[in-house]
Amino acid sequence: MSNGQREEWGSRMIVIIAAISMAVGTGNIWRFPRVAAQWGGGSFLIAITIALVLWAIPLLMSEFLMGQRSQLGNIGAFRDFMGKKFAWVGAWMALVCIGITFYYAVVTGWSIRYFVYALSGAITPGIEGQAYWDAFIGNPLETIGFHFIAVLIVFLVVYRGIKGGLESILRVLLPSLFVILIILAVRAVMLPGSVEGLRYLFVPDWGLLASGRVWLEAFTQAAWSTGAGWGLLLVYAAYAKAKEDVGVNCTIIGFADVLAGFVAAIAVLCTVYALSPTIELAEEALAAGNVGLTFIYVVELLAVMPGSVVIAPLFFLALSLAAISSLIAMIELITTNVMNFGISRQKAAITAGIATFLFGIPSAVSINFLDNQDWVWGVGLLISGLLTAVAMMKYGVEKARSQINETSDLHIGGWWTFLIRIIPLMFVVIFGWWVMQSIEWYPDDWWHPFEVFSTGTMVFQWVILFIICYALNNFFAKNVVAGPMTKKEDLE
Amino acid sequence: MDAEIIIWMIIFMGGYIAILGYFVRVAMKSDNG
Repeated sequence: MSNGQREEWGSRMIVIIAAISMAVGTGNIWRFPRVAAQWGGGSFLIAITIALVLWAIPLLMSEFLMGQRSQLGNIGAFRDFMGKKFAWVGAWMALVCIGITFYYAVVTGWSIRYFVYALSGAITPGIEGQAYWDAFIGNPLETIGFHFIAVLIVFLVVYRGIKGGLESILRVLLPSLFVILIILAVRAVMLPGSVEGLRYLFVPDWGLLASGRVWLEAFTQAAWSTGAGWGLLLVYAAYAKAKEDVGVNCTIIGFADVLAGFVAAIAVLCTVYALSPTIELAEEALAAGNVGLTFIYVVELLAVMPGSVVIAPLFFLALSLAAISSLIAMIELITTNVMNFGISRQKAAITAGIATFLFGIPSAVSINFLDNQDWVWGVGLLISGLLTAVAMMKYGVEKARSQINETSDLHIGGWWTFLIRIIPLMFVVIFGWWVMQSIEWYPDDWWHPFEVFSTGTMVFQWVILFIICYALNNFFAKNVVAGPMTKKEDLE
Repeated sequence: MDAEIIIWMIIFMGGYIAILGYFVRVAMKSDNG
C-alpha cells in the first residue's frame, strides 16, 4: 500500500485502541448525556444496550470483515464484496463520511479554541457564555484559523502512516482521554446536588421504555456513536492482520464506546444538575442542543465550579482529544481511498488535508451550513449502515459468518445472520422516523432543497451524490488497485 | 445517596465493565495461548 510494503497495525491491542478512538468522539460527550437524560435515563441505557447488540455490533463485524479481507478502502472493499457493478456503493459510503469530515474538522477547531480559552483562564465566574460563543462563531478568522489547526494536527498524524503516525498517537491519546473523563466524572459526583444528575442518568423511567421514541433515539445514538456502518472501521481493518479476530474485537469496541458515553454523561449531567441554580435551568441547558449545552451552558457552569482553573481546561481537552481521535479516522478514510488509486500515502494525505480544509470553510463561516451538512450526512450514515448489511447479503451472509469464525475467539452463531438480514427492517423504521420528524418541522416546505433540516435538502444532496458515484462506477472499479480478493474480471 | 441510584449505577456501570472485562480476558488469553 505504501512504498510497496503493506502497512499493518502492530498488535491486537492497538487495533482495538484505534477503533475505540475512532468511535469515541464529541457525540459521546455532548450528545449522549443530553439524550440519555431526556429519554428516560436507565430506560435509555437499556435501549441503547439492545441497540448495540442488534444494530451496531453486527455492522461493526461486517465492516471489519470487509476491510480485513479486501485490504482496501471503502470503494475497493465494496467492489470486491459485491462485484464491479457496485463499486459506487463504497464510493457513496466514503463520500457521506467525507461530507461529515469537512464540518467535523470545524467542530474539532471549536473544541481546541475553547481548550485554549480555558487554559488562558478566560472561563471565570460571570462569563457570559452566549456572548463569548457569538463573538467566536461570528469571527471567521478565528473559526477558520482553528479549523486549519485541527486539520494540520490530524494531517501530520495521518501523513506519518499507520505505525509512525496513528499508532504512536492513539496509544497515548485514548488512555489519556479515558483518564480525563474519569477525573471529570469523579469531580462532578463530588459536587453537592450532583445526585440529581445520577438519578436522571441511571434510574429507569419505565413508562418511557414503552414509548417508541426512546428506542428510536437509542438506535440512532448507537449507530452514530459506535461508527457502525460509517466505513471508518472498514478502513482501519484494511490494515489489520489476516488472522485478526473480528468477533471479540468488535464487541469490545461497541461496549467500550458506550461506556465512554456513560462516564462522560456522569461528568456532564452531575455538573449541570449540581451547578444549575434550579432544575428548570438544568433542563434548559440539556435542551439547548449539542452546541448550546457544551459551549454556552457548560462554560458558565464550569466557571463557577470550585477548581475550575483545572477542570475547565480538562473538560475542553477531553472534548478536543475525542474530536481529534475521530477526525484522524476520517482523514485516514480519505487518505486510504485515494491511496487505493495507486497514489502514495504522502500525496494522498496532502490531498485529504487540503480538501478537508477548503471544503470545511463554508461550515466554518456559516453555522446554518454546518447544521445542514450535519443533518444531511448524519442521516445519510443510516443509509451507509443499510448498505453494509446489503453488501453482506450480496456476498453471502453465511459465507461471511464462516469467514468471521475462522479467526474469531468468540463463535458467531446464526443470530448474526438473522440480525444482518433484519437490518433493512430496522433501517426502514429508524430512517422513516427521521424523515417524518423533518416533515413535522417544515410542514409547508418539507420538500425545499435549501432549508437547513428539511427532507428536501437531504434527498437533493443524496441524489446528487448517488448520480456522481453511479456515473463514475466503472472508473472506480477499474482504477482501484487489486487486493487479495479482487477478481481479475472486476478490473476489466 | 439514594439506594435506588446506587443500585442502578452498579447494574449499568458494573454490567458494562464486567462484559468488557470478560471479552478483554478472552482476547488476552487468545493472544497468549
